[in-house]
Amino acid sequence: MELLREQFDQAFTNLDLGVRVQVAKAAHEDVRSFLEARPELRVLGFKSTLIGSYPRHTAIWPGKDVDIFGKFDGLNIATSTPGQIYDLVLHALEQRYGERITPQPRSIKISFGPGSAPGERYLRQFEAQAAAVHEFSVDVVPAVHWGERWGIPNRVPPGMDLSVNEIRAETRRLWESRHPDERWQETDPEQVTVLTQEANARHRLNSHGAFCRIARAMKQVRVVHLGGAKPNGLYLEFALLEAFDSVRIGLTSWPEAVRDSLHAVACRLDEATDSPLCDPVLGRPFEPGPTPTEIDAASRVFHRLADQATRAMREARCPAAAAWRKILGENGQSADGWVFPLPDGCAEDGRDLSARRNVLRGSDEARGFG
Amino acid sequence: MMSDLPDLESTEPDALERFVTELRESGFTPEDKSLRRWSGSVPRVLRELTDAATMTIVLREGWPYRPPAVEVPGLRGWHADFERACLWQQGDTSLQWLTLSGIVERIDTWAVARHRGFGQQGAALDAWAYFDAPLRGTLGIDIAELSSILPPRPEQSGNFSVQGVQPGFFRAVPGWIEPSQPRGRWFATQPPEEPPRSLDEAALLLSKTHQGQLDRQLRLIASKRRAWAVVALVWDGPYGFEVLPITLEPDGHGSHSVGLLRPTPHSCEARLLRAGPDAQLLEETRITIFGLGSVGSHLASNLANSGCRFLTMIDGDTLLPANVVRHAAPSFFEGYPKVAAMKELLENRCPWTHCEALVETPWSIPRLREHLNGANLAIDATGDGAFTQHLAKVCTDLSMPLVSVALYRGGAVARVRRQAQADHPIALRGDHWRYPVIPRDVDDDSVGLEVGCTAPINNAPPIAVVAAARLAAHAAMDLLTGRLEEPDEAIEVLRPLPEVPFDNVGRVRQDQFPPCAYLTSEARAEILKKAAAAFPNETGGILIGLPTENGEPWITEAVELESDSPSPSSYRVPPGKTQKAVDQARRIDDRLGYLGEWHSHPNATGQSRRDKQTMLTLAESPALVGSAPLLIVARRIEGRYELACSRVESTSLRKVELRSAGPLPSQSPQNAEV
Repeated sequence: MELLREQFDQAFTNLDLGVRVQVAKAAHEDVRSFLEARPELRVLGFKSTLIGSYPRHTAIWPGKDVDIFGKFDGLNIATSTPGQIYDLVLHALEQRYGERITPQPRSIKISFGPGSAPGERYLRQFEAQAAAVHEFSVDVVPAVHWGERWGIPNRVPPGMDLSVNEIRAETRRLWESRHPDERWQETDPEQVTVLTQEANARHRLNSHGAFCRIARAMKQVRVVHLGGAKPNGLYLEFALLEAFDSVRIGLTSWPEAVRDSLHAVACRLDEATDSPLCDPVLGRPFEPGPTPTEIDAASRVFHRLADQATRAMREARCPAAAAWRKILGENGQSADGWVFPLPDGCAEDGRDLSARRNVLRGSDEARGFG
Repeated sequence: MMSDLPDLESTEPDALERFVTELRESGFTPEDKSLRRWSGSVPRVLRELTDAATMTIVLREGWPYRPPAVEVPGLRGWHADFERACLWQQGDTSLQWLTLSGIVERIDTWAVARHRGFGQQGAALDAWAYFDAPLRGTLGIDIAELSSILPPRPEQSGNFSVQGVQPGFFRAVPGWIEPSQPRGRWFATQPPEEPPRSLDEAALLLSKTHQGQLDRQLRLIASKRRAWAVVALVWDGPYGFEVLPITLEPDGHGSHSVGLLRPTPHSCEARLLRAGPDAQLLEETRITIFGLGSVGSHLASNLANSGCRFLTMIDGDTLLPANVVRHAAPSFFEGYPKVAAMKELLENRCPWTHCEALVETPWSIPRLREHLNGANLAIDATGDGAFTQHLAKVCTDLSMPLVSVALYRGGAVARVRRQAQADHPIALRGDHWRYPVIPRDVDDDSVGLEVGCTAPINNAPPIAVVAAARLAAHAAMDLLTGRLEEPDEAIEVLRPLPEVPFDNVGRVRQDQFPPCAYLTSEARAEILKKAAAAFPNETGGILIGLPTENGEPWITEAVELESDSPSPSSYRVPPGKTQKAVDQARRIDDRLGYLGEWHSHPNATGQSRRDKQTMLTLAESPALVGSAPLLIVARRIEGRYELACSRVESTSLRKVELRSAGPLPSQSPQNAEV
């Protein structure tokens, strides 16, 4: 088996947020420091943490946003309504970010771009980069205590045939419900981060945490081969947590780990209709989960890729690299846009190139093109 | 006034006139007004073979491409067909007969051969052709069927019945079965020096006992106690048994008239002779064929005809009226399962082939394994890409050779894939450069859906079906005989497609694949970076690299040579910069050299007329003679640059596919000259 260790290391680097980490860091620090300094929020025990794939280290390039968990330590679901705290945060953010604010069903989005960079220091550092590097957003999700966990504003289930205004109105009605569990949705994203970090520390390969690297690879596969369709990235992370903890992932090499993960995800999807995947923190079926049709489509894709990965493990260096390149696809971060780099002397068509000396020196005449 | 030319329309009237003139000048005279028959002296070499002093040259329809007949009264011997010397074989294109001297020269050669003997091959010629009697029909006869002892001894004889199969076609069946059927009797003789030309000459070859039996037959015929009978002389020749079947009928005047039947063998062995030399190699061959549709049926037919002994045919479909247009089975079998129709057809035609017909469409792996158990070869002619992939994997696991055939693009392209031990697995070919992907048409191939059926009807014409079957049969025979002269994938373009390399009719060869060039990530990034930095002006430079072992350019560096007059609409390579840049690259790696040019277009326009003219001029410069310099144009589309590559070929620029490649491996000290 060709380990292609250098190429896999580079591929995982190409999946990372890269320079976008600087953007994310500057953006979330800007928002968090502003919110935590607001007296009207501080008085309610406001503190913020990062949640989502960014702090879990499972975000993949280009990583367009980062989530801030705005915790009101002095409030709980029985004594407050989502509308109160949502509006409090919204008004505070509007004062600083104005038109860059976009209210979301249960969060507030702040957009950043070349003209509205989150920090001068990083702009100077990356001024030669394309404008796309600077486009980023931060989502602030307000939360209050729900027992040991947290409650975030409930939302109208996605998929309903409603306009944006209708969704807003329905959401507001929901937030005014007399029943706290209708107003709020129970969650504990910080604990998900803890579980992920623990898994990454527990499962190591070549002195790297294996879980986060593999999770990023699976997310990339989803983007490339499922076109971003469900199941979403968090669902894949939960499926992988199950697989890693049940020792279904071989950790002797990166090819083996990726192949086993593709296979494990495919097999978990096969069972998902009868035995839904659970949120490992809440212990309840993942919501909103994929439909049986989406599960079936995703299962076929992951099985096919697992087969391709198995064949790649039997191939010589160049055809193996070409196969891994196709499995991980493109994301635009590397020089040629592909995640998996080609080893020396290998071509994308799988050929092992050997070369002859070139004796031509070209013409020194001036020449013009139009 | 009589015309000077024969009453014969010829495509070469001048040659005919010259020939007739030569005949006249040589003393030949026309026998009649048609001027087709010319009498002249018999050449000296024939005088000991005939008492005749003159011979006749007969000009026949088709002259000059069909040779004239040369009739020599009383001429006897092999290779003299009813007194016509067999001078030229059918199909001879020598035109030796265009002159009288050519004819005489050929007669001399024939006479010498006649004197020395024509050898075994000559003696193997059909004896019936020399017998001077009217032809009454054809008799299917096999001595092995009639005689218990092979070869039959010269004194041996036996009875047979003459069964009418079709008007003029009879079959000899052992024994006298029904009184109403004409009777036959065969007599074994010694091989004659020359074939008998009459019943009397034939009788001379018989033993006294057999002569008596013949006389008895003749008496029965003459007395009309028997309507007609057949007497067959049999002798053992160098190429098997020679048979001369002579018919005897009452002549109405108390005697008999003599006729002739053309003998033909109808045994399994005789048919197997026509199966070709590979038939012997296929005695133990077991083939399992999946899919007995149009392609599969012709393929199965080809394999059975070629001598395959065991065919397991698997298909769940029934032969429908519309199928018979392209299917090997005739409309007689409409309503039969396709496999049952083919079993009937093949076992009847090829008695050596044992067919197993399974009416099913198996997908389960255990069932597929069961069908492949004991087979030497699996063939997939289902035309179902999903099944092909499935079967290919099963065959890989079983180490079972597989040949898969399918038609694409409405029958424009036939592809046969072989998966034998050393072949690249079919499942991996989609990703491999050696196996070009046949592009799908934007228009669907199908002509519609049958009611209640989800499978589209492929619009491939019958000729394409037969061509695909032939290609697959050829691949199968190549594998089964162990020759392995064919590549593991054969693509035949039957109608050209717009896409390269399917744009020419015939076999697609690997060297016809679209030309490609390899480009390292670093070189690509350099072009994109410099093009973006120069925006809104154009910029450019040269491509540096080296050729691969197959000759494809491998671009490892793209060097910018800044224009001395930057402009949004043009780019100029300054003089004296190119070779310096190449030399600089060589100081780091001496394998590198110049490969071509690149420049940017700050708009979406592709290669310009000026670009083309510059490249053609460049290719003619002494420094680049014999090379095909590349041109990469980076054009800006929606804010991003995209690369398009071409190369100089003759007087035009041909599109080149750019493929990514890794960096050039560093040069090992012992292999400095890679």
